[in-house]
Amino acid sequence: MLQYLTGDRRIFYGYFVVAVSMYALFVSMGARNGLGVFINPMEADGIWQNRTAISAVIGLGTLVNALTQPFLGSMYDKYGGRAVISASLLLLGVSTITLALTDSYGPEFSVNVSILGGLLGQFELTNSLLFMIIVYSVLMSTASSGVSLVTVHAMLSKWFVRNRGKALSIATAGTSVGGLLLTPFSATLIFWSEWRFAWIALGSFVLLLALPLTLAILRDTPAEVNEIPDGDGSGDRRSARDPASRAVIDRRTPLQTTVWRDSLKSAPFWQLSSAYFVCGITTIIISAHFVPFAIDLGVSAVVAGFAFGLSQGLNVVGVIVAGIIADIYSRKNVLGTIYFIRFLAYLALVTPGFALMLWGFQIPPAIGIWSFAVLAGMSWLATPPLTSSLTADIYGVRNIGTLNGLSTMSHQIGGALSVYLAGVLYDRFGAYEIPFAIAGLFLLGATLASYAVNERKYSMRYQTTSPATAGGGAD
Amino acid sequence: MSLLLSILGHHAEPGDPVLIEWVMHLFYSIVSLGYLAVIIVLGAVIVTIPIIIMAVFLTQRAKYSS
Repeated sequence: MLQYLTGDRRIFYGYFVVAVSMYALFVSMGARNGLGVFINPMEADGIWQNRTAISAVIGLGTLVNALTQPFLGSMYDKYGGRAVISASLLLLGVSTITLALTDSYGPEFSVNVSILGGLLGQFELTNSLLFMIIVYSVLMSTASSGVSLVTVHAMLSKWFVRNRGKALSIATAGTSVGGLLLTPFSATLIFWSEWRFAWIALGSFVLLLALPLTLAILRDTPAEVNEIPDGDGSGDRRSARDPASRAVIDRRTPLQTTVWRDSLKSAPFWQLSSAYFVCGITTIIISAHFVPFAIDLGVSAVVAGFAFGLSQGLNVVGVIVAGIIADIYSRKNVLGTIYFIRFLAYLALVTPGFALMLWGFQIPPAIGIWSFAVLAGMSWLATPPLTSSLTADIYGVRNIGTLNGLSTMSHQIGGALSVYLAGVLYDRFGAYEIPFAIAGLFLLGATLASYAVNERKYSMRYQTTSPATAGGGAD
Repeated sequence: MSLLLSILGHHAEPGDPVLIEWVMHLFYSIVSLGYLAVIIVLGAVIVTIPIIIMAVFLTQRAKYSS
């Protein structure tokens, strides 16, 4: 390491891009996703009247976030990662700090909002709530789409080909590390001071730390600093102008297209997106129903909290290990195996309940919870970087932002549907085992869809020559 | 909470406040530090990461001129 700092040898610039991307994801996750920490203290201050009101704010924010992913992805394809991520960080930081002004802005008013005659809920729309809708649901949620796995994965795909799985996975781990550090930080700051100060602190991290780092270091392509993907040829480094390097940069894949819509006409996009849809189902259903499920089972808050914390910690390990393996072996096989591991996690979760219901056999529910925490933790975060890696391997990087945005939208839609259907099935059967078992079966489908991707035929990793493009000409 | 809004609400990434409460309770029982100490330690980690990245980058910057 010392020779890199003091001598002539240089660190591949792409590693700085990974580090900055990881940190940008780290603080952006803390800023927008930290709202869960603020709900109780802000509610205690009378910012909203009931949970339906804050649910509407969060729900609208999620909707905006999901729908803007393809849009921000296409903005990335047009203007590049540095511009989109920097602008998004600026908006995210300003809007996060602005949340500290909630309830001290605008004239007082209160309007009763009834959705579909009260069938879908009622709440008081106050000036504070309207303020939160504008700042959190619209501005922050849109900005979050610009500093997301969609844009970061798209940018890193240009910097890494051989080590793509590893690079994307390390950056992705930033989201989990952000949750692990910023959630206790925000919660403790609120206990020590108050929630307004915590919003200012989170926004300041974005504006004073992540944004300058991004502006100073992020570059869209290796060519901007005369590098080639993966920094191949370290030492006497080959430059982007070198013919051998150009051969690496100009490699084409059979499904590489000029127009992103052409990518939707081929099987791999739908195989990966449908599997990612299941990923959304099986991750978001748990975040929504984990607490009531644990309470139903009689698992103590300590055990449930510990298991959840363990799974969050294992996320980091799981995603990085998966990325390393995916650079050695077939990426679609690693992705399929991850979905299968998550299937085993769901199997572990529902086995105690089914054993009791079907055979009267008692298995301590904590065993199911712990097994789930370990298996799910290892597989939770590993799917996004591998899905993005495969998309870039197969379709090239020209429209990667838009394609990542579309598959992420399918992930979010799957998640929303799963939470709704799990609630309906719980009301029908009075147990979470049924919806969780169905979600688990979907994972088998995702496993098969991933294994079925014809990586050897379509992926850039397996191309030795430049094949004719299939869907719209050369990139 | 109404069904649709609860779906959207739960679907959002912000953590469940009950779960966060459980995890934080556990966190404080393991860490056993005062609030201010937790803030200083975690804050230092959060601030140090970009400083290290920038410091290493500055030692390398001259080597990237094309």
